[in-house]
Amino acid sequence: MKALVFVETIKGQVRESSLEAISFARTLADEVIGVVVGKDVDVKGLNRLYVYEDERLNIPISKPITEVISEVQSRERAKYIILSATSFGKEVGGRLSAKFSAPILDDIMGYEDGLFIKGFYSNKVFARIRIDGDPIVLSVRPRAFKPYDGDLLGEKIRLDINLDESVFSSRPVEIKEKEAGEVDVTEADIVVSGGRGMGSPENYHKWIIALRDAFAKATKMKVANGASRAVVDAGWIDHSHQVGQTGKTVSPILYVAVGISGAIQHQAGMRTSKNILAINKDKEAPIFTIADYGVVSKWEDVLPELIEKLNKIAQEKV
Amino acid sequence: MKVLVFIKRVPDTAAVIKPSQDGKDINRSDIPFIINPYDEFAIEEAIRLKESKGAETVVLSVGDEDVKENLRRALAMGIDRAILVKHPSYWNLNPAQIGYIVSEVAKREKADIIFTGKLTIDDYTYAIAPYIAEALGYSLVTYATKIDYLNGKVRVERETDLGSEVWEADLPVVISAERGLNEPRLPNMKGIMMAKKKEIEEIEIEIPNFNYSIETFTPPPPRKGVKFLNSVDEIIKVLKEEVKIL
Repeated sequence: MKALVFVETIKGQVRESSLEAISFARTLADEVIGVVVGKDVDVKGLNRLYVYEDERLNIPISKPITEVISEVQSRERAKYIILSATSFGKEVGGRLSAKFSAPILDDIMGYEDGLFIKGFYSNKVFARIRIDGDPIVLSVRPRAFKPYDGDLLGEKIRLDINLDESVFSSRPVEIKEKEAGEVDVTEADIVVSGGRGMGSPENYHKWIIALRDAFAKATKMKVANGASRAVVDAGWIDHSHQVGQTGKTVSPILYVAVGISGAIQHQAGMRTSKNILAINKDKEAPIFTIADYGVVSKWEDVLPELIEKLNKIAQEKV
Repeated sequence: MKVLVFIKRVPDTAAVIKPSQDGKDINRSDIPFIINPYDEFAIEEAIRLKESKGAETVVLSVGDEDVKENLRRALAMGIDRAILVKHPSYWNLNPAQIGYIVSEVAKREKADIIFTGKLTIDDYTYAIAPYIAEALGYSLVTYATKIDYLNGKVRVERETDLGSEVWEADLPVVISAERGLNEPRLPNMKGIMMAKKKEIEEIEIEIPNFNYSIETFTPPPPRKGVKFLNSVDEIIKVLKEEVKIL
């Protein structure tokens, strides 16, 4: 059985979530084929890698990339077409589903006894799903699977495709990248989130960011700052940081909730975190019903000292 | 200019969702339903376009009689017409089947712009907008936070997991709405009265059959329960010894 994986790159680097998609693909299929578009890179875990180099696609555009993946699929006829459930992967997945009249399943978290597992209703329930077709399009939730870390390095096949201008009917004209060091909440190992209990946007931007940076230095992990819907709606920070049912769903190693009461909509976005630490002055706050560790205290009495101690640990590590 | 908006009926975000007794469904009859929150941005955007540039606006959904409630809300907000594609258990459809339905209606309606939410919060799929664009050969811009309408094209600010971007796309176009695109209005009394009188067009569309079924719903794995910590030193200790990140 074959699986075809679209490998996403950012500035010539393979995204971690694509390596996770590859390891997921290896559990489904014995032959895993990759496609990479834009710049040529090496990718492990693939039996074959198709490379399509095109400067016009250094910033990915879903229509032309769908054409490239379709060309590879017409040669390989893979049973599974697999993407990582990133902003871009999910867009390409929808297109491929139309292109091949194939059923699609987004945001897969597991695979057991022939059934795919994913959260429904924002992880308020989990569903086991039977899906079959030729092909099937699957997108894999970031951080749900361990990235491939073996040594398999298959042959590389260069693709020569003439993309018609018409596939560029929508195109980027301006890119504002995230600030250096800023990680998306869905891809972070640690997420530090602040809510209304922080009191003001100034407090959020000073203390949540300081805690984020202290964790990053002390752990050398990818750390992102998140927010509850209340503070996003209040304009403290843009909604790309929002964790919850109408925001992003995260599964970091550690989720830190500061001044967040933990409404059911917020829980929906973070309940699959491996560890949850909640700091809230209200002992009755619903966040403590799903937290693993709780500190009942004003954040002012915890964050400054916690930041200081993390910074000290970071210095000792150097 | 004709604008089509696809909306889906989903459980209220505040609803407590539990598996049904046999685990094949959820406690559907006990919970309130709403328009998928991202689809509300799509409705509002269509109405604003109609108000600023002039357009015929049509709202479309898939489902049973209950869905009419959500279509009427869209009409009450200011959409001109509503279409219901009938399906008895729309919540079991694969996103590709929904995408197919919207594409078929869009062809019939000859829509120039199709708006929908970036994702449906029930099955957590982002596939519908890109499916429609691919099926119809329309341009596509996902995750829109601001739209300017130019001659024959749109200029769209969007937000992805990599940052914010500005795209241009030729018409016809499919646009998926992100939070921040606008502030959806509440229907006013006059709108509600008018919406009551409007006819909702009901149609049937034959959809492709897929081997796709939800076998069981289960509650999420329970968490282990909270352990209260009394000092920052205790936090550090837990991070070292239990979470193992320090």
